[in-house]
Amino acid sequence: MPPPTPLSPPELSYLYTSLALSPPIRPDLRTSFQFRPIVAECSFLPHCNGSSRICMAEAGECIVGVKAEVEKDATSKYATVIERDKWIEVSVEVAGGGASGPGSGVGVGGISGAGGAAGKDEGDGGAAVWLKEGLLAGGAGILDRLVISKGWHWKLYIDVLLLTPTSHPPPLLLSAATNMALDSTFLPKLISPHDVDDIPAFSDDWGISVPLYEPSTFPRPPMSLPVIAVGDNVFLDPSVAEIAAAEVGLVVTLTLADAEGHCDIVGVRGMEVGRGGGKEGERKGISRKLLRQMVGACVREAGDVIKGLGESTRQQMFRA
Amino acid sequence: MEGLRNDGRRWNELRRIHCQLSTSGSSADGSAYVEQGFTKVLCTVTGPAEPGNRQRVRGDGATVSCEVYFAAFSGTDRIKRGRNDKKVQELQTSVQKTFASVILTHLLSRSEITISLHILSQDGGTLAACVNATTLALIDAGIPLADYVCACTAGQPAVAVGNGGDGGEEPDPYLDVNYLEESDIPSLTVATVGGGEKVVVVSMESRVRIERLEAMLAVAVSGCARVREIMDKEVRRYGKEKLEGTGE
Repeated sequence: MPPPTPLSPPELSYLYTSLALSPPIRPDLRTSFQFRPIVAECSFLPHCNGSSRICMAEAGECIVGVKAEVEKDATSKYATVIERDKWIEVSVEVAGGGASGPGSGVGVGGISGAGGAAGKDEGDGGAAVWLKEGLLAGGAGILDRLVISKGWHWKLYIDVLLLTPTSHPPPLLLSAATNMALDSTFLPKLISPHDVDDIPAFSDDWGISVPLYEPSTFPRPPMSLPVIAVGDNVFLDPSVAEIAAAEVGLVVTLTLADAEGHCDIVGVRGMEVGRGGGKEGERKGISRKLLRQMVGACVREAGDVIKGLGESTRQQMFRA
Repeated sequence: MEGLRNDGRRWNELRRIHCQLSTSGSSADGSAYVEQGFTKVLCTVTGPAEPGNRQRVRGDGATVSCEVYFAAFSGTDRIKRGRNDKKVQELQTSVQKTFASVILTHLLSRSEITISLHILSQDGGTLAACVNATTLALIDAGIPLADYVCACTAGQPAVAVGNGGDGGEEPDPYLDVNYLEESDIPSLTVATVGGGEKVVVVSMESRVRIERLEAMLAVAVSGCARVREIMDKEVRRYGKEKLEGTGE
């Protein structure tokens, strides 16, 4: 289900028409590839290895805390390789707006629902799943960084707290916040030798702690951008109303591949959108050319967005 | 180090209090963020609004409801607290009861005010920080209150060892205890209405000698007055900034 909008069919039709014009007119007069401003902070929670808070005008507010715990590798002979994807645990919790609000305080999309039908859905149960999926997808290399020494690894808990009550967690908000939190995550420095399988020892000095993602190394933590198409026009960072009027929507997960801002695609997922210009229940297909345009737009524009977020993270990090 | 506490404060010193109004932008009617030392709480208030549930409609006043969320990452170890956790429920009830009595609910009949509290980081004095954050968020939402509700904690340290062995003087109560002190010595939380001596909340979970209670209360109440000053200063600063912003 797409997020509910308060728009009536005539309003939707008007919005659809203005978005399908050439050049298109967006309700807030943004250009097609323009993003809305955000408020972003990081490293403000003393009990977390990494933390961030992101505020967006429409999507609301989101706080992410990353905590790392030392864990022994599973002892079974073959388990070490298989269990690696359990080293990261993502959970998304949406606060209810009053007991009556949608998704009232229930933890939606704990990673437990990964295998179920909820995992396919972009909404509720899916949020934690696709966040983790992006992290684990090839090239991100995060699991290698979690190895401490022989037989030991970090277990990473990524807790996403969405403060605005909604049953449709906005992908850009969640992934931007997770991206920033991971980018500002520091792990204590190992002082015991690497190749001994004793309990590892760490330095107490946070001044020499190691970042999870070493600055200016690539790839960086992933980020998911929503993109929609109306007619032949492609729009980045769509608002709720625009999603309701869109014909097709995608969430493209990308990671920065080099310092110039080129991006690699880590994943592409469909996003539920409204009924566009058609009737309720009718859905038009999408041409290959348009699909290419949508993904291409994300790849082109994402570099600046991720780089900008990364710069602001570095300015605020406790160890600048 | 004579006479100093484990974080370098004197007995009557507060931790750094940082408060901020309207942190959540347009997504809530009122919001506030309070840091007391490393205790960090974010509060959002929705309302007065039409109650979502018929049972919450009261003809003679507004219904106040409260939700508390402990972030899984708020403590030293990662703990997930469910909705039915005892600590969550207790905190919810104390905040709800306090503000149901302080909000001028008779002015807002047939409506509902929802307070949601997010505890992002815990370092002692969680209830106090929650009460302070709620007061600021309610002010931000423009909900009529009798006065500021300010909360503070106080703890009673044990008699210092090696004090000449006379066992004579009791040490002064500690104001605004942190997590280490909170788990070590008996402490209480007090909330007052206005900077005066009108106490609305007293909560204490440990045993202490009855003679010491008076002193602890006195220290906590004086702390509340100081908290009020800090909060009032921030509200005025924010109000002024807002007015100047709209004047042009």
